[in-house]
Parts: sequence; structure tokens; C-alpha cells
Amino acid sequence: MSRIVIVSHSHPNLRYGGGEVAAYRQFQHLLTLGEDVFFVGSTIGPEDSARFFGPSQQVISFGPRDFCLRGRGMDGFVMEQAEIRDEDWIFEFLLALRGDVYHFHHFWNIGAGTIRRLRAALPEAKFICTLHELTAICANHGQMVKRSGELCYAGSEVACAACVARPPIDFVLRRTRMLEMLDLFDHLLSPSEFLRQRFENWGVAPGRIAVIENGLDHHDGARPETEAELLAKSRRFAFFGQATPTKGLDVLIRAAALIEAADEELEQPLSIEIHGVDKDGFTRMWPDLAVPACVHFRGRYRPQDCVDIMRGYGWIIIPSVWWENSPVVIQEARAAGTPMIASDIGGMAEKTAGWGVPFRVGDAGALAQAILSVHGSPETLAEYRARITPPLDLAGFEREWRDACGLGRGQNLAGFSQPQMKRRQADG
Amino acid sequence: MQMNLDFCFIDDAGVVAVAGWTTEVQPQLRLHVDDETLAPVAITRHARRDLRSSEPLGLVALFDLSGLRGDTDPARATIHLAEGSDYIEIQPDRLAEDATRLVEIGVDEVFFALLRLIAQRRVVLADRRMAGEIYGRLRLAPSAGRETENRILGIDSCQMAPSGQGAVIGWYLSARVSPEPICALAIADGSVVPVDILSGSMARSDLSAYAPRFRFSGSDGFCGGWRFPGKVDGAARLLLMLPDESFGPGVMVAVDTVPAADLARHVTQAALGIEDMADRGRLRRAMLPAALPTPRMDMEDSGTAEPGEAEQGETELGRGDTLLILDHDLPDCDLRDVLRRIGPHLTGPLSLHLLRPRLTPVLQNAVEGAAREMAAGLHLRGASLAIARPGDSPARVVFARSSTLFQFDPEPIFTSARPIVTLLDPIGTILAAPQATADRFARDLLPFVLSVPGALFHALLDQVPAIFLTEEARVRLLAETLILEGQAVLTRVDCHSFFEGKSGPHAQSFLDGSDWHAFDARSRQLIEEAGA
Repeated sequence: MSRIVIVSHSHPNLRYGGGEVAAYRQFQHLLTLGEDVFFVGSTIGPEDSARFFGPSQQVISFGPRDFCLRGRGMDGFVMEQAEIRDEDWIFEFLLALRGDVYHFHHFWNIGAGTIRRLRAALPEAKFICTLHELTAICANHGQMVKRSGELCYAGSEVACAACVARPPIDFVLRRTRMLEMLDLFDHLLSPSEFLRQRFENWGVAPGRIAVIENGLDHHDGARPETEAELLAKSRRFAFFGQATPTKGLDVLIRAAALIEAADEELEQPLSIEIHGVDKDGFTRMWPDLAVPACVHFRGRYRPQDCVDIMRGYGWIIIPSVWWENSPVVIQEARAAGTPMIASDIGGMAEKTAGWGVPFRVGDAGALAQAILSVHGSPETLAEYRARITPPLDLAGFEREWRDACGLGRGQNLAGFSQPQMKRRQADG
Repeated sequence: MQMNLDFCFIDDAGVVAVAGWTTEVQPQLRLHVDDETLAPVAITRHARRDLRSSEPLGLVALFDLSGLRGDTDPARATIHLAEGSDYIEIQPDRLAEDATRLVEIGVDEVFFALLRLIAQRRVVLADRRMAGEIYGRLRLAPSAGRETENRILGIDSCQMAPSGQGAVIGWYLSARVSPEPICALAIADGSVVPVDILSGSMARSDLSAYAPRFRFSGSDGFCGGWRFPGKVDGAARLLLMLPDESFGPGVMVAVDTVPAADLARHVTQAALGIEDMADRGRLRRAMLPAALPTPRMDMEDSGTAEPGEAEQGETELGRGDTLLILDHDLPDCDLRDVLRRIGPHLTGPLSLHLLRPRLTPVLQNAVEGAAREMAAGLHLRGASLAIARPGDSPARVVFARSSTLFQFDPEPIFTSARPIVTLLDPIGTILAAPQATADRFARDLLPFVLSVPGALFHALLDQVPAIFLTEEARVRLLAETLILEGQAVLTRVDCHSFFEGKSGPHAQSFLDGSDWHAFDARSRQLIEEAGA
């Protein structure tokens, strides 16, 4: 009898980030299959904990198999619980679940020590970890972008010491701790080839990491469109994301300004709509940037509406100035059948290859040129749309996950009888 | 004979001191030792109120017996003090006892004159009993005021570390020019030592406001250093003896006992204000012993003298418990990883002495976290900057910095059946001579780990007084002894991209940019230069 425990650094009921969403979708999918599965998330720090938890409350259960632990906040450099008693608590909780499979999505808020002790206590269990970003390698928020703003191509003790302003020996320890922890997992998964390559270059043995895209269930809402519709959409561009420096919204606004400066040459109107950010938020982040008339802020949106909204545009722009890994916005664009204009690095280059128009990262001029190259061209839009393949759905993800982790195919992991399954589904 | 002889004694350095009084301005004194004749090396004069005269009738003359022929034994020789054609025979018992008598019953002026000669290192009376007598006589003596019409004395700090090393920083302005320097004694019960005073050595432009009353030069700051030969019981005082003031003992200053690092920080800061570079070293030098301690191997402790004992020692190392004395020079939270990493190589329980002033919550968490992952067991013995000798010697003592222990292979360190010094010598393969390695070990502060039987470790360490800021400086001497006497396996690690830790108290920088290890290295250099 096999029990699966999905462990995430956060809980999507409280925060809606890519890693925890992928973890939770996996949990829900396995639950619908009748698997004996638990989800253990965490608040990401004292602020969230204080907001949602009572003073001595350790855990909130959103269901009999769905838990959110009280996170105390974890120094991402150390990646250990600050208080040993908190580690004791999490360790004992995870141990009490007696999982046969522990699938960690990230290790932040869980802690390297917790994982080591759990591994030692459960030597027969299968340990899996999905690497959602580069935190193990990079102490600068796991983005491999130097504090000076340059892209970082490889970590080293000396280079990291210069970037993060800590002694090189601190990075010797950190790297050793992270590699030791990753070595404890039976299987390492990465949602992108780019991320796999970075980890292998850093020290994870080649072949240890399997690449499986995050699963995204979607319905095929696309219908054939007339040339007039395509023409109209080819003038409409959109950005989906947040007003954080690494998402590159400023690059897009600068590109729009360049286009507007050459406005007289445009025979057809052009609009760029920003979803996820309102104008005030943008101005707070970039107070000196004027917003061109062709740019419109649409504010927040519900994640479940994203694909439908995307279908209303000809092109989705992803101008991030860091590497990205496997951004959900790319999967959503694929689900929407909407091609992308993307920075030419990392996960963006990898995931949009063939159906996206690349431009030089951080280069507003290159982005303006890329936009203009497809603007008002229904033929180009149709051509790129035709190249899009749908993203991996959750069933496909589960299939690849079983293959990569040696979990067997076509049988429920728990080996339950149908009555047992029904009882468990009723419990869950 | 014109001179009235009151006391005549021989000091610890073989100098005969003759104290008395005479109306002669330039008495022609000689000392006859058997058939050899010595002229005085120094004559000091002082007034004596008991003679009802303000003239400097009092006298102390010094004769250096080291000028005698090699075959003359002063203890067996016939000694006469001569002035012109007059002679007085000095009985041997007087030479041995008069110093004590002077301190006990000598008039104040001659007692103070003696103190000045001790402060100036012209007379050496290092005996504990004598120091006790001097301490007793001065205990109730009144201190002179810090300011008079003729001079003013300021004390900025007067501090001593628990080890007995001390320093005074102050300033002095006088209305008159005097050939006499300021001199000083550090006084504690059972110990009286000269203070090496560097008069007029420090720039003090801030004293210019005193210029109308006193002679202001701009360099009127002084500093001085001393070292008691051992740990001092009770309070210590400094006696500052000012020029042209022979009727009183001088200015008494209380000595504050402070942590060694505070004193080092203060001295480093003060040294930056010393204008003459040679004097900077002199201040530090005054706080150090004359020679570098060299611990001597006691073959019983080594456990390697006799074949049978050697085997027993090796067995103990192989099976027993380990005391890890760790200078944790990494962030507190990283202690857990350092300890965990050695866990698989332990053959018995591990106890830990952390060379940290206190156990922070993060350190405690780290130790507890490591304990949960170490099957052999982990016990925190304590956290302090000084190594304490445990009641029971552990089978093995390992001394290391965390950064070193983490980057070296722990397996041979914790499993070697013999004492082992493991060191990183990046240029060792190029300059492979053993002596060169030993030299670099000391000169370049090569990262090292020492693993030895507990009894041997403590027996050797006990021979190295606490003259350094860090215990590592003491342990380095111990390791050098083991290396030079061939009592330890010397292993050079082949480790590239080695980085030193920069956390913990020992990594703190003083004002001149040096950390505690560099401070100790400089102390050692000063001792060695003086001994060369």
C-alpha cells in the first residue's frame, strides 16, 4: 500500500505562485484518481502566519488530506529552520504521515534538516523533488541575476561572494548543504531543460534530473477565425504578470514608447494591455517612466480566467529580464493558442521555441522591432498559431511522473480496491 | 668614610645597590670584589627630610657584577665598599637581606628611590615575597594629586586583561623641563613589575589649551605597557612616578580589569596615535614575555615513548571519546553542518567546546540539530573563549576552526591512531623542505587541524601561558612542538579553493584592520624579534 505526500513550500489557498499551484494541481489530480495522497503546504513567513493562524496554532487543515503548516519564515540562504523545535515539529508531522512517496515541490520553509532527518527515518520511502527555480544555486533570490543587474551564467564561491557580499566560505557550505540534500532524493524533476542544465553544470550528476513540464488542464476553446478577426487580433498585444523588476514590464513600456515615437509610420492601430498590474502599481515601481497612449492597464485577473482572456489577443509578450524556468504564463498562452513574443533566454527561449518571436533580453528597441514585425499581419499570426501544441495536461503529467519516478503505470499507487478507493474519496 | 651606608644588597640581575647619604657632591665610590675593582654604573641622588636638608644628600649607587672576571663568585668573594682610601666590608648576609630591610624600614625617600630604580629596570627584584613587602608598604601610601602648580597628569585609560597584561594611556604636561622621565610600576599583591612608559610619544593637539600654564609640545601623550608574570589575585594599581617628586611615591591609578579583546582593541587604537613606528611595537612588546614559551614533551603524556604505551595511546585514540575544541568562524547556523559532517567518522561520543564568548540561540539550535543527526552522541561541554581543562581527559582532542574542519577530509583526523597535524600549505608542493613547511606554518598562519590524545594536549597547553588573544595561537605552539619533535604525523591536505571563515569573535577587526589572529601573529613576531 503506497501513500503519497505532496509537500510544498507554500499553499495556494494563501499564495498563488507557480510552484505551489503545480503541487496542488498534482495533489488534486491524484485525489481524483483515488490515490492515498496528502498535501502539506506552509505559510511562507511570520506575516502570513500571523494573519491566518492563532498564536499557538501550528496547522490549518483545509480538508482531511490538505494541510497548511505555520511557516516561521526561512532564511533562503541557509535553507534550514531557525529553531530546532520547529524542525522537530515539521519532521514529526511529516513522519507521522508515514508516506511511501514524498514529493517535495521546493524545500524552502521545509528545511534541509527536516528532509535529511525524514530521509534517515524513512529509508525505504521514495523521495522526489521538483526544482521550481534556482534557489539551491543562487542566493540572490534564486534568479541567477547579479545584484548589479547582469545575468549570471554560473555560480561560484568567489563570484557569489562578490554578488551577495558574503565570504566565499559561506557559499562553500551552502553548496555542500544543498547538493547533499538533493542527493537524498531518489528522483529530481525539473519543469525545463534549461533548469536541468543549470543544475548539472552546478554539480548535480548528469542524468539525475528528469524534465517534466508542469501539468495544466485546459479545454479546447479555440475556434477557426476569419482573416478579419486575425487582422484585428494581430494589432492586440498583452502582458500577464506582476510589477516586479525581473518581469521586465519596464522594458515593454519603453518599447511601446519607441513605437509611439514612430507612430506616423503605423498604418494600423496598436494596443498593448497589461494584466496583473494597475497603473498605480506600475508608477510606484517605475515613477520616472511615462506610459504611452497605446498601453492600457487592466489590473488583476482571476487565474482561472487567464486562458480565456489570452484568447482575445494576437500576441502575449513575456519580457522578463531573468531566466525564468517554466512560467505558467507560457503554458497558459499555449492553452489559449496565442503565440508569444519572448525574451531570448532561459526557460522563455526553451518553452516558446518554434511558436514565439524572440527578442534580445532587456532590449526595448529589439522588443519594439519584434512587435512591429508581427503587428497587423494576420498571415504571420496564423502561421505562429498553427505551430502551437497544447501544453501537457495533468493526466499527461501523471503519466510522465510515474515513468520518471518508477511508480508504475495504469494502476492506482495505493493498490486499493475499488471500495477502499470510494471510501477514501468520500473521506477526502 | 664620608658616605653613611644604610643598605647594601644584590638584586636578581647581579647588580649591587648601595644606599645611604653623603654630603659629597661627587662621591668617589668603588666596589672591591676580592682583587677586582668596580666603578658605579649609576648614582642617583635624592633629598632626605630626616637630614633636615633640601639638598640631595641621599644616594643610591649601582655596581654591575657582570663586569667581573668569569671565575669570581660574588657569593664567596670578599666585598668592600670604598670611598677614597676608606673601606667598609660588606657582609654576605647583608647583600642577601638588605633589600627587604630597605623596604621595611628605609626612610620614604630611599624607598621611593628604590621604586624608581625598579621601574627603570636598573634594579631587578622579582621575588614574590619582596613584591609582597613593597605592595604592603604602598598599600596605605597616599597618592599624589594629578594636578599641581607645576604639572598636570591625565589618565585616559588604565586597563589590564585577566592574563595580567596591561596598558596605560594618558598625558603629562609640566611647567619645568626635567631630565628625568616618567616611570611607573604595576603593583599587585605578590607582583611588582616595571611599566615600559613611552613619554611624549603620542600626538595630543587637544591639550593646547594648557599651553599658558605648562609646556605644550603637541606630543604630550604617553602610553605604557606591562605584564605580570602570572594571573593576578585582587586589584592592581599603577604607581606613576613623576620627575622631581622624590618626597612621595607618586600618583596611584586604579587598574581596570577588562576582557583581553577590549584591551587589545584599546592598545591597537592607541598605537595608531604613536608617532614613532618603533614605539608602536614597543608598547605591544612591553605586554609580552621575554621569550616564546616552548612546551616540552613529557614522554608519559605523549603515550608514544615506549612501544607498549604507544599502543595503549593508539588504542585510546581509536576507541575513546573526542573533545572537539572549535573556533566556529562561520555563521552560527552553519555549526550544524560542520558537526554533522564529522559525525560518521567518530568512534565514540563527541563533546564540544565552542570558542565563543557565549552560546547564542542560533548556536544552541545548531548543536541540538546536529545532535539529532549524530548517532555517536554529541554533548556541548561549554562555550567560552578560553580552553578549560576538563576533569577527565578525553581520549582525543581535536582543535580546529570550523572553516578548516569543513573543508578538510575529516576521516583521518578523527580516526588516526596517532597524533596528527593536518595542514593546508598551498605552496608546499613547490617548497617541499620540512623546515620550510614548519616556518610557513607559523609565519603564514596555515590553516590546520590538530588531533592528539587528550592528556598530551592539556599537558602541553598548560605550559603555554595565556599571552595571546586566541587559544589558537597557543595551540599553534603546541602543534609546532609536535611537528618539530616528530611526535605527530604531519599531513598536508590537497585542497584547492580553500576559503577562510570570517565570522565569530576572532574574525573581528581592530582599528588597524587586523583580526585577532593577526594580532596574535604580531605578538609572536614581536617576541621572536626581541629574542633574535
